[in-house]
Amino acid sequence: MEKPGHETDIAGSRRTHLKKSFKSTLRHLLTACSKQDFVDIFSKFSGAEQELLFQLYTRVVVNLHQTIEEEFDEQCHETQVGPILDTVEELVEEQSLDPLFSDKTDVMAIAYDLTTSKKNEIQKLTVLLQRAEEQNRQKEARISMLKKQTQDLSGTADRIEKLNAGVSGYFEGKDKLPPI
Amino acid sequence: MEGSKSEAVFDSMNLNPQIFINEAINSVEDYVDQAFDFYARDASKSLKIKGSDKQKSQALSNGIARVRGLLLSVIDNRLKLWESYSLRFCFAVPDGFVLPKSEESSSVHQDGLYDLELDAELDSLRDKLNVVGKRSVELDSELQALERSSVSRERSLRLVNEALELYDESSMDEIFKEMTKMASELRASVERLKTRRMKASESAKVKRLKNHGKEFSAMTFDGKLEDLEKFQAELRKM
Repeated sequence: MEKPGHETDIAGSRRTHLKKSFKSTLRHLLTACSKQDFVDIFSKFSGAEQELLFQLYTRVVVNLHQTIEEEFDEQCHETQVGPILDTVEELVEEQSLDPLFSDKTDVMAIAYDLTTSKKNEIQKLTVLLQRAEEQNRQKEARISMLKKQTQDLSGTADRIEKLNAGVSGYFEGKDKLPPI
Repeated sequence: MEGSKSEAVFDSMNLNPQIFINEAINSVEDYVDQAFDFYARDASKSLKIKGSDKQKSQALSNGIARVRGLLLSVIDNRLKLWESYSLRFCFAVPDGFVLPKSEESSSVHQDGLYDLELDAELDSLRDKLNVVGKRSVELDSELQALERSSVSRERSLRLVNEALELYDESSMDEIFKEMTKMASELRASVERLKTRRMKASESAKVKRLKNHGKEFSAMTFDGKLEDLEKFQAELRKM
């Protein structure tokens, strides 16, 4: 049987093949038990009884076959398997024949690459931001330390003041002036 | 992967291939069971088998069961083949197949939203970096100013500290006593220097006057050498 989806397939081949293959399977119901097998199974019955039983069996199986086929058609209708298979078939054929389809794939790849590069950029900027913030914190700490050092000069100022006081005090009495 | 991808395609259209196939097969088996229940009753009635004839009744039941088993065995094998065929050919999609446009549009839409989120995050990070960068420049300026001031202040501080150390090493009174002592010694030295210079000057005049009227001769030459020696001795004393 020809492979569905092939370029030379007519429209609806998937749907058709699904149903045909199922009904071909059902046909085996009609031939599953041969006349000989049946007679062997009912060997204890008379020939007339065997004939009667077989005719009855045949009617039942034929009816069974018809019933199952109708049930399958109904199931296909309820699930809309036919139209769905047709849709997929059209899309598959469309994409296999579309010369731009490969470009479309590339476009998707490009979009993916763009997203990936954005993520990478975000990661780099995040690291850079953290580093810059840390450097600023270090600068602030150093500025704070330098300002504190400025305040520490007050001790030196005190000592200078003491020296000035001493010198002034010494020269206050004129009699203490050295006889240069 | 192809199988799961195919299922995804059909699932997106509200059809699961395996469920569809299972329902079809279950339906077949159910109808076979019903058919053979009917067959058993009808056969018994047709053969006019009495309830009292248990041996014949049992033989009929056994026979029907065997026929039913044979039928199911055959049909089950065929249905398995049908299942494989359907999944492999009717319900399969080739590699590279892309979902329908509606689904694809939805997917693209989601991707678009995701990219917008990424763009927003990128913009946010860039803004933060700008703010941090400006802050960094400001801090650099402040640091440079403070460091220049610090260097200058440190140099002055070092000089002042050195001076203060000298101050601490001795008291003010001792410093001035030392100054007074040094001043006295300086004065004494100056006085001695003046005296020495006056004597030297007078001695030179006297000798020059004594030699003024003499004539030069061999004896006079010897005397002059003695004078030079004296002059040299006086210079050494100074």
